[in-house]
Amino acid sequence: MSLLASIPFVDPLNLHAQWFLLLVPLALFVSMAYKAVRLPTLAGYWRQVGIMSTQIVVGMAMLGLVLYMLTQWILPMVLPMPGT
Amino acid sequence: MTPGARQPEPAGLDPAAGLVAFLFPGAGHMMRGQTRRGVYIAIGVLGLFLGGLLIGGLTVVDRKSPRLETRLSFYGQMFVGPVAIGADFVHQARFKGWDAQSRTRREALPGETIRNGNIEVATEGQRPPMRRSLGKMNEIGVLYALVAGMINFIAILDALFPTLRRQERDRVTTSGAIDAVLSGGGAKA
Repeated sequence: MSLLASIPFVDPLNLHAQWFLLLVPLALFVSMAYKAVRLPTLAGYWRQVGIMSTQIVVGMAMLGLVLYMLTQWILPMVLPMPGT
Repeated sequence: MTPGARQPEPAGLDPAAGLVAFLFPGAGHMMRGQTRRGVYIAIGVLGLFLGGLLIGGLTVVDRKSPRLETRLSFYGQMFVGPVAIGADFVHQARFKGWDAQSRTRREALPGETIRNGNIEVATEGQRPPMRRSLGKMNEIGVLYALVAGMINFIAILDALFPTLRRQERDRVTTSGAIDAVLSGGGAKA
């Protein structure tokens, strides 16, 4: 087997720098399956999927922002670490 | 309960649909005549599971993983059905070899290969049959596959205890190009 060969579904992808973009397909597929089970009727299905996907992505981004502010700004102000 | 509050809808019991839903994502709903729902569930669940395999490789489905999180996650991933169980079987049988030194079955590391089921030193230009995923790729892959199993668990329960009025509503309200394709020309669920 070649050293360069990479087998899809067996070897991992090298997306270490773009990992956060993988939230988008995750949110989309979760919304598709969940809304297919949950909606009383399938009228307006894609609109509901779009809304739920957006809610997940925006919610996670906001959560990330809050945690960033907490760990980078607020905690260092409240509890200054020695040497910083 | 206050007057006018929404009552829970009556639910039935369909063990055959529950079993079929476990065997293939969405098939329980398709069996009950809710083809469009079943197709959407199948795309969502299999998209997540295969997405997990694509991102993290076969390492993400491993019931005998040295990592506790991956081992435990398999019990959630299992609800994707035979697809997940088969992926784990292929992983154990095809991509792990017997290590005589540690007396365990494990994946080959860089510089090693698997020959006749045993881990041996690789020759020039050979690589292990698979590369382990590490860090975020592994974690995200495990998460995708685990979420696929959890969502399919919900779908299995929905097929097992179907809402009795939904099938009738689907028949009345669905329309459009996707329905026409799925129902072979007619506009039913």
